[in-house]
Amino acid sequence: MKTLRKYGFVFSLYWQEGLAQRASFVMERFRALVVMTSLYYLWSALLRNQTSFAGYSRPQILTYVFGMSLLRSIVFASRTDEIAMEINQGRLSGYLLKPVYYFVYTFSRDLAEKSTNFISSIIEISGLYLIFHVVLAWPRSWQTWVLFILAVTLAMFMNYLLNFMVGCWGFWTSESSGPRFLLALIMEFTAGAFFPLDILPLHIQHILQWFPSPYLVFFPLNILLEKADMHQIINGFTAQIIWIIGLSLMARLVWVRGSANYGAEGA
Amino acid sequence: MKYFRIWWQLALMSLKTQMSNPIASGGYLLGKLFRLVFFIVFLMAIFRHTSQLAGYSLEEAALFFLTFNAIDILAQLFFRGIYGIRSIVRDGDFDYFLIQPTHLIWRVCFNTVDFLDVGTLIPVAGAIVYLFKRIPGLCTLHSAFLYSVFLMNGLLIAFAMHLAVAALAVWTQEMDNTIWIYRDLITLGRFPPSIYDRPLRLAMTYFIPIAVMVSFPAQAALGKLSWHALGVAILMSGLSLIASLSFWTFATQRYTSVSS
Amino acid sequence: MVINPVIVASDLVKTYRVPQKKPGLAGAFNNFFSREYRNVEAVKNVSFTIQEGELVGFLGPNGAGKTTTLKMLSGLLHPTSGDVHVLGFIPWRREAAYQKKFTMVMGQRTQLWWDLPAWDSFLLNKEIFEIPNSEFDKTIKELADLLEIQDLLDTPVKKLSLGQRMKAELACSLLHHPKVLLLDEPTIGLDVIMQQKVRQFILDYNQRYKATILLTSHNMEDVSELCTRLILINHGRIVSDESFESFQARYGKTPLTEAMRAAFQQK
Repeated sequence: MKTLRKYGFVFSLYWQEGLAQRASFVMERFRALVVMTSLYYLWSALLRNQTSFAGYSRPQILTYVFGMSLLRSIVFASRTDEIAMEINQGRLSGYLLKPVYYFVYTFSRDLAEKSTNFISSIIEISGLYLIFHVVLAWPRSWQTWVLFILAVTLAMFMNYLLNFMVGCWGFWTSESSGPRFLLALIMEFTAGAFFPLDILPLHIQHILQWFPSPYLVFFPLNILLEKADMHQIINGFTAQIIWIIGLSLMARLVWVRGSANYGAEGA
Repeated sequence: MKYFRIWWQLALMSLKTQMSNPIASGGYLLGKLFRLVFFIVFLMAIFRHTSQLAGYSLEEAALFFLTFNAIDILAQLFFRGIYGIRSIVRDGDFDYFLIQPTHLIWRVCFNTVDFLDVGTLIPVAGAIVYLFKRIPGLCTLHSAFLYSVFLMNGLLIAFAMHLAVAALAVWTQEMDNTIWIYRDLITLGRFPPSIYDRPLRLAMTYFIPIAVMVSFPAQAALGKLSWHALGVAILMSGLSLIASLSFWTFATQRYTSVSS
Repeated sequence: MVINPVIVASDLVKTYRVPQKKPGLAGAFNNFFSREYRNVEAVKNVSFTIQEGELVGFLGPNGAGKTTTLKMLSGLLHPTSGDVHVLGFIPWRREAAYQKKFTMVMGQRTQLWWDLPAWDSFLLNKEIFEIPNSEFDKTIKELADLLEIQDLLDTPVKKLSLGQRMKAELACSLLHHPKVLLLDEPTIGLDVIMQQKVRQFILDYNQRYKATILLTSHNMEDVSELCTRLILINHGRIVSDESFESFQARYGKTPLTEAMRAAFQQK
C-alpha cells in the first residue's frame, strides 16, 4: 500500500508539474491538433472523388486519423528522454540512494505525461469531430473495445520498455540524443502513426511485421476498425507479448550492466 | 566586416561542437534524412492508390513537399540560434548577449549554425532541380525566377515568425514548445493548399502566412498563381516583419532576466 | 584626490510581478485556469555613488536585492523608477560604447562554450569587442600570466575543474580591458586556494588598471581582503554605506560575520 502511495504521489507531482507549465502544455497539445487537422484534410482530399482508398472507406480512414492522434498521446507521449539526461548529469544518483525502483518511478512519471496528453487528446478529437461533422466507423461489438484497450495497454508497455532501454544508452554515451531522435522517427513512421501501413507495398509490410513498431499503433487500430480477423488478432497479441517479454529481458540486462557502469558524473 | 568575422567564428565553433559529438550529430543527420525519405515513400505509397492529390500529380505534390523542406532547412540554417532561445534564456546566456556590443537579433539567430542542415539541403535542392526537369512546362527561366522570388519572400516571413517566437520566449521564459508550434504549423504547407477548405486557406494566407511562405513558390512555378498573389506575398512579408520586430522590442524591454 | 564618480545610482526601484502557485493537484488545476500575481519590491530607493578605482563590496542576505541592483547597473534590467549612470551612460540603453567599457561576471554561469577549449570563446569575444590583434595578444599574455592559465586554454571547458573554469571565465570577461567590473559572487564554489588566487587577481587588476569594481559575495574573506568600502543591502534597502575601516571600527573585535548580522538586524 505504502509503495503504491509512493508512486501515486510521483504521478501526482508530475501531473502538477505538467499543469504548472500551462503555456507549454497548451502549445504541445496545439501541435498535436495541427498534425491531426492536416492529416484530416489530406485524407479527405484523397477521398474527395472516390469512396474508398486502399480498402479504407472515408469513415474508416478518418477513424484511423483520430485513432492515431489518440494513440500517440497514450503510446508515444513519454518522458523517457529524461532518463538519459539524468544518467549523464549525475542526477540518477539521487534515485539510486533512495528506496525507489527507478524503473517504476519513471513509469509513474510517464503515466502522468500520458494521462494529461490523453485527456487533452480526447478533448481535441471531440472538438474536431463536432466542427467537421465527421462520420466515424464505430465498432459494432463491445468485444472490439475490450480487445482494443488490451492492445493499446500492451502497446504502451512495449513502447515504454523500448524507450527505457534506449534511455539507458546514457550509461555508455553522453551523445545518445541523436540516435534516440533517429529511432523515435523510425518508430513513428513504421508504427502506422502517420498513415495506415497497408498502403505500403506488400513486401514492405511483410518486413515490418518482424519489428515491434506495427504493434504500437497499426495493430490496435486495425482491431478498432474491425479489419483484423481472429487469426491476425491472435498473431498480433502473440507478437506484442513476445516483444514485451523480450524487451523486458533486454531492458533489465541493459539496466544491470549500465548501472554497474555508472560513474555518477555530474556537472 | 565585424559581423562576418563574428559569424565565421560562431560557425567554426558550432562545427567544432558538432564534431566533438559525432554520435549525436550523426544520429540527427540520419534522422533528418530518414524523415525526408519516409515522406517521399509515403507520397509514393499514396500515389499507388490514386493518380492525383487535389488536382496535382505525384511530381507536383512532391514539389510542394520539397519546397516546404527547402524553406524549413534554410530557415534553420540562418535562424538556428532561435531554436535554442529557451535554453539561452533559462541558462543565462541571454544576459551575456544583452551586455555585449552586438546586434541582439543577429546574435541570437547566429549563436548556433547547424552544418547538418547543409547535409539535408543538398539532396532537397537536387530533388527540386530534378522535379523542375521532370514536370512538363517547368524547365523554364520564367518558372525558376518566380520560384526563387517567392522562395526568398518565404524566407523573410520565416525570419519574422522565428523572431516572434524568440520574443515570446524572452518575454514569458516559459514557452518550451513555441518554435515547434511554428514548425508544426508550417507542416500544413507540406501538401498542396487546395486540400484545405477555403476558410483555412484564407487563414493560411492572410492570418498566419504559411501558404505564402511554403506553398506559393511551387504554385508560382506551376503557373497556378496570379500577379496579385505576388503583391499579397510582399504585403504579408512586410507586415510580418513589422509586427515581429515590434514584438521583439517590447519583449526585450520587458525582459526580467533569470535570477542568479 | 581626484573625484571621478563612475557609478551614480539615484532612488533605484525595481518591482517584479511574481505568479502565485497553490500547492497540490487541485491547486495545479486552479493555477492552470486562473493565475494570481503579487508585486515584489526587490529594490527600494537604492542610491549610491562609486568613484573611479574603488573596490566596493555589495553585501546582503539571499534575496536582498544585490543581483537585481547589479543587473540594473549592467543594463540587463530596466529600473521601475530611479536613475542610474555608469561612466556617463544610461545602462539600459545598451549602447555599444558602454558595453565595451564594462563587464559582468556571474559566478554560477559561464559564457565559455562547454565542448570547446576556452581559447575559442576568447576568439569570439575578440571579434565581438573588436579587439585589435596586437592588443588581444598582449592582453591574453597578461591575463594568462596573472591567472596562471597558459596551459589550460587548449583544454575543452567541460574537462576543466570549477576553479580553472572560473579563471578562464574571468580572463574571457576582461579581454576588452573594461573600466568597470560587476562581479556577482566570483568565488562561489571554489576551494580555499583558488579563492585566494581569484581574490589576488581581482586586487591586482584593480591596482594595475584603476578599474572600478563592485562585487557581491557571501564569503567574508572576499570582503575583508578586497573591499575598501561596504554597501549593505537588506530587503531591497541600503542598510549602511561606509568604508571598511569605519565598519570594523563600529563593531570592534567582533568577527565580521557577527558584525554583518548585527548590522542587518539593526535596521
